[in-house]
Amino acid sequence: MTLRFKQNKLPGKRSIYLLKHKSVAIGSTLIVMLAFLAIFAPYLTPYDPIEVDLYNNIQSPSWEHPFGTDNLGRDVLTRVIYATRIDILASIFIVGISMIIGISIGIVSGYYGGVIDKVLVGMMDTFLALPEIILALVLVGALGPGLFNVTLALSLLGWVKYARVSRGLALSIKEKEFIEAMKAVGVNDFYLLTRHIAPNTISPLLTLAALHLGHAILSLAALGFLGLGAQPPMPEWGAMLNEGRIFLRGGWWLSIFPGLMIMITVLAFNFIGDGLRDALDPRMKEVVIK
Amino acid sequence: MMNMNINRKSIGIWIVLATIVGLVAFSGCIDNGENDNDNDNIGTKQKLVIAEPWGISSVDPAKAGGTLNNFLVLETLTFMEPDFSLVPGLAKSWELIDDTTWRVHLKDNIIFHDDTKLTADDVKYSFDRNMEENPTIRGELGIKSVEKIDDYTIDIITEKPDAAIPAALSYARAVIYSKNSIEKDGIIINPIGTGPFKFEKYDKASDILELSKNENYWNGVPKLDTVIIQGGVGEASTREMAIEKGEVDFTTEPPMGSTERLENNPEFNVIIHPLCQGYKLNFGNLSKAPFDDIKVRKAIAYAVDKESIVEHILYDRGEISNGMGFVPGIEWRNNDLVGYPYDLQKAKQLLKEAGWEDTDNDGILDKDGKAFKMTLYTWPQRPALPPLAETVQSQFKEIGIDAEVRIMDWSAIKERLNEWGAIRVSGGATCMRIPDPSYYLERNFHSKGDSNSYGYKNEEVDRLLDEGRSTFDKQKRYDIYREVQEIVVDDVADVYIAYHNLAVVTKSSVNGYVPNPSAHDYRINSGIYIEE
Repeated sequence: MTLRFKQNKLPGKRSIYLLKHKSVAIGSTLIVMLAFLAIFAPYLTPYDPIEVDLYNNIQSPSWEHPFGTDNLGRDVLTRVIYATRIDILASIFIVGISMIIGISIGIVSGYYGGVIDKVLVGMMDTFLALPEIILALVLVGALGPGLFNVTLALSLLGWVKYARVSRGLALSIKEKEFIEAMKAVGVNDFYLLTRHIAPNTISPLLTLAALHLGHAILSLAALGFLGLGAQPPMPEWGAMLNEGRIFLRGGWWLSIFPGLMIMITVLAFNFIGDGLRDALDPRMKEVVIK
Repeated sequence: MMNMNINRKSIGIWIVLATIVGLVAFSGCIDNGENDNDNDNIGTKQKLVIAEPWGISSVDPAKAGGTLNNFLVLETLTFMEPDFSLVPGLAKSWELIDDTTWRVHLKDNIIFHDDTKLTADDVKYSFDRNMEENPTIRGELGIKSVEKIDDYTIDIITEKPDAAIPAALSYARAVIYSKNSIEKDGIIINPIGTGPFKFEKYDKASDILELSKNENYWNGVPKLDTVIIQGGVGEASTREMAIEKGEVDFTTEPPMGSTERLENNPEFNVIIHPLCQGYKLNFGNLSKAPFDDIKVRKAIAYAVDKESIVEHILYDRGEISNGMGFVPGIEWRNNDLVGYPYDLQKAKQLLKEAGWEDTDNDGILDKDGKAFKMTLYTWPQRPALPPLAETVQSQFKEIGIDAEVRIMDWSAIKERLNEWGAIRVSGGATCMRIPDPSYYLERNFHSKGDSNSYGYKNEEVDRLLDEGRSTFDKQKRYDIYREVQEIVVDDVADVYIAYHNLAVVTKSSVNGYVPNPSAHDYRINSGIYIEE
């Protein structure tokens, strides 16, 4: 990995390098395709994702219905496409909120240090000790099932990773000369944190975010599979897997296609995450710049 | 390093998720001790292994009386036949002494599994214990006390004049067992009964119950030597796998869509028969808008396309209801009722009369600025319920009602039924736990009924139900209960959609199963035998 970086001496060429990186290229292509599906869903398919047509239920894949129809006669392809919207949007929301919470807590903790730092780090360790999916189950159990509640629960639980990394970054950034210079001229803490420290933490966190996107989709799908996420008839990959499960023997297409979509999306985000790590990891960068 | 971990973890989780489907469907590994076959002697041929959907968890008759009765270990004083008629069981006759006392004469030739004779002491012991350990049994039976008169006679004292007592004695939880049943810390661990099968052992960890043949059974010796019941096989697809892999000989309720495939396989017998069970819509609160308006309730009853539900959601394993829970064949059923056949025009008309119109042209009805947006609640354990709720949702759309489907635990739904426009899509409630109409009608439609949590109150119905319970003349009771059914259906107290037909799947070597519509789900019978 380090060897490959040595070819990339000029930082400006990094973005071009990124695309040449095989896994990033595959990942981005897949994501662009998925985004296309999500954006143009209503124009891509003539069917309605929730309209029940009982007289056409459990039809195997055909020209009319390339992915077949489900137990209520709905076109599986249409539902899979519409589910792309819901799953990807929800996971972006989860990652966004987690990042905002995580960075805020992380930089405050790193910048101020002392008691505040101890309390916040203790909190992070507590959260890290408990598996995220179990906490999500508890939260959703209290809030009641539903896509919004699941998204909210996962958003509130995903911040710890960001907080830990941004705290470490804040610890080193606050020692830099430009921060000291600003302090000397009397810039207040809020301005410093939001305008100078936070932006400097974002690029190293992008790798984490890309991987978190894939992870968020899995968590959403897992909770959907357990019936806690999207409520029927809303198309959501995990919920579709669950609905199709009891028809597995007579209608494999009900659960195979949503399962494949989860696989492709998570893989795509993981590919991008891998590539980003290669290119943006601060430790790697130091090696290159030296 | 941390990034690497997350990456690996998410791929790992993905693999887990991608295989969940397979795991769940193919996890039908049921240990039934088949490996012992080689060592066993001739007797093992007559062995039946059952995959039972519900967990057994206890063999104390006060808690698991229904299960032990269903598997023919324990019996009741009177029996309900598959045609819902009442016949003598451990009792040979009964008579009314005064308004609140029933005298029951016991058969004198009944021998327990431990070769002791059944006497009035055992009967009194069983009733006292059942009612003390499990207060719901007392409530359901309506019995004040049981008194011994002589060795083979008892008196049953009731709170109020009660015509349903002989029927209530056949209730699966009013089981009779020997006072010598082995107890440990107040819990019976070895119940001694009078049924065709003897309790052998029960293993709580694996939830496996083993029974053996009762050679001295008073009513014909059963043909099976051993019955092994694997409890708690809750997943329909797991039961299907278990029977297809040959791990069990007998099971029930495969996934709805699989019955046809199993029927076409000569290795299996699929027996589909009616049950006194079904699917209905329960209005969350009948005393609050919008369902306090009978026109709205009627519109909803007309808007449900029951025929397509029976055909495509129940896969023809069902029958359209006449608006009432009693299935055809029950003598108490009011066969003149027709219910609410699918009629969109009528539904729209009724909603218009009730003041619900689409004034802002958004496709959703509104009244006084309030849009008709409501919620359909249902639970996931009965596989037909979620798709049924989704279908009802799309049918409501046709008349301009915007419904949301929410699937959650049964107990969580209860708290939400007071929300505006909440409806519970329900299934599974049995209409004939005892061969008397009072059980179903009182529980659901008496203003004080146990299952009437939705606030149905009609004073005429209350009066008739009280009268029916205390009237001893059968013809008069017929008339009373027919009238109750008519009023309740006219009031649209609930929307009964369809009756549910049960499917039993056995290996083709299993013969002699007699369908029993009066059972809670299925019930085995002593005539079952294995033919190679």
